[in-house]
Amino acid sequence: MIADRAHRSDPLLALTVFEARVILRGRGAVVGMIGYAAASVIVTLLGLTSFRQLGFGSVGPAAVALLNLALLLPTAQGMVVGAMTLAGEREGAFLTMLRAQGVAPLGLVTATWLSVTLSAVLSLMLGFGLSSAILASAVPLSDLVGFAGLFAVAVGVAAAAAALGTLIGTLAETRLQAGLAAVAVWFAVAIGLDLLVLGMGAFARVGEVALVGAVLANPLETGRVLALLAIDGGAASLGPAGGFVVTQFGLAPTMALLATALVAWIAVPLLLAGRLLATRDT
Amino acid sequence: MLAEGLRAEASATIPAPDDVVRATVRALGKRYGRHVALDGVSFELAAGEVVGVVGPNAAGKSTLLACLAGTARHEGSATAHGRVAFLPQRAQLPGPATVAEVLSLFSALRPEGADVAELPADFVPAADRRVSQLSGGQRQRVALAAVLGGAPDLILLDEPTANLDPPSRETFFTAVEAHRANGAAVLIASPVAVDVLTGVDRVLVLEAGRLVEDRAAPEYLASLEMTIWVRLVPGRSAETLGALPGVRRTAERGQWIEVDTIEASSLPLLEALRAAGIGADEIRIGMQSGARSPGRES
Repeated sequence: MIADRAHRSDPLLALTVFEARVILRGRGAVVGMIGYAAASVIVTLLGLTSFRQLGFGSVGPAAVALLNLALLLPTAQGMVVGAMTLAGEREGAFLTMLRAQGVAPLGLVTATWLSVTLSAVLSLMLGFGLSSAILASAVPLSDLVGFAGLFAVAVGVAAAAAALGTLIGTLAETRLQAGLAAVAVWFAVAIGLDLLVLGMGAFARVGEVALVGAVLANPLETGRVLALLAIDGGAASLGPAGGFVVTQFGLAPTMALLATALVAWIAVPLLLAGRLLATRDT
Repeated sequence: MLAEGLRAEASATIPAPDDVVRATVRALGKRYGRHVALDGVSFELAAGEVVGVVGPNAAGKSTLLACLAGTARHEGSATAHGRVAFLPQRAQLPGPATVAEVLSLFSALRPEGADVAELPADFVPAADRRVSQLSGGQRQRVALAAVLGGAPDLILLDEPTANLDPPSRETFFTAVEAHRANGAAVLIASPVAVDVLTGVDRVLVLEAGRLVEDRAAPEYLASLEMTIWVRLVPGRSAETLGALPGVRRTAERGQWIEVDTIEASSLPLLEALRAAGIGADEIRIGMQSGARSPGRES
């Protein structure tokens, strides 16, 4: 008998493990991990040149740089790898084989998302691990507590990006199209939406409520404000939108609102992707 | 509970009834924009039946299989009774995965139970080899081993013998026979009629999305067009060969005379050619690869 029946396991778990192995051996995940780890080390070492910029007891330039790295690079990895994985498997009829075996569309989407998120989390662990090791020699251990919060938020944002990538992979016809669309969406959430809000502000007064909406409408911005709150706890570094929400609702409810928004950024794209996959030809 | 829900939604399958029907297709239609891929196709597949689906490119063969597998939306009904195994056309397994991982995955996805078809160990490459390192034929064998595992009730195979060498083809058809003996219905699609006629009971011929023929395999095989080429030499012409028994059409093409016949008439015709003093070295034989019925063409 060819098939190895000794390792029979839950179908969804088996599919997730299979997808994770495929993704972690792929070029996208490897490049993402190495790139993010290298960037984290460089930013941390540059931060060490000035002790005033170090530490997570408050938000300094080095902390902001590490925060931006954690929000941008693994997010790009999650979005692009998620999109290309699902679209590639659709294009190659592998999804068709799996669906014919009785795996539900939402199951396929969930397994892909979990695997892509795992690859992004491994990138984050590598980058944060190296940064922590360098920082531990230079700053008090208590300053590194903020790292834990930042890491947790970065995982949430990467998971949201992976969910968006999975949705893009469901919509795209080809792997190439999915990759290009994912890069475009990543640019939009990383830079484009901020520029849009700034541009609108130049012509008309953008109210605080609109700014809060802009934060919630962008998973990266949601994560950025949440991470700043986790590090600092004060409203000084949050900008007008974050400051307004904290003043209005208080710190804990604001963090709960932002965390809920992040969960929604994961759940809604996944449910949409599952629905789309169920209603279109694979 | 969530996990159950995530994997519970299977394709358009319902449990196999006690009777022998494995698939029911009624007025099946499918469009891609303005292009009609399938139009009013109806048939049934019985348990233990191996059926070939033939037709030229874009006749609707792959779409028919996808509809039955539950992976393509359609008009009309295409119902599989029981568990389906489906190998789509030119399916690509993920390159970074190993052979063992692919087979383990498909093993985990199907209900627990023994494999009906015991494929020999050398049918698939070494378990630790990655799919990206395999040749086209080896990949096809891994994909076949993955979908032919377990005991599916309906097996849908789109060009399964593509890239297979003769021993692998033989192993494949042996596996198909094992599934047939176990009560599965097998539907095999190919644009090359002769590729699917081994061990097939029945042939469905699709043209432009319509089912134009549903015939017993021997009857279909006998009506398949054949071409015999006879070397053109002085004193020999298309007209003289046209008078031989079983000849439907002749034409001179360069150094050869093209003689069209059907499979059923081929042996008497070859005897007549030999009786006319034409040696074996002056004859070339080819079965027409297209699936058009010669009866319909003439």
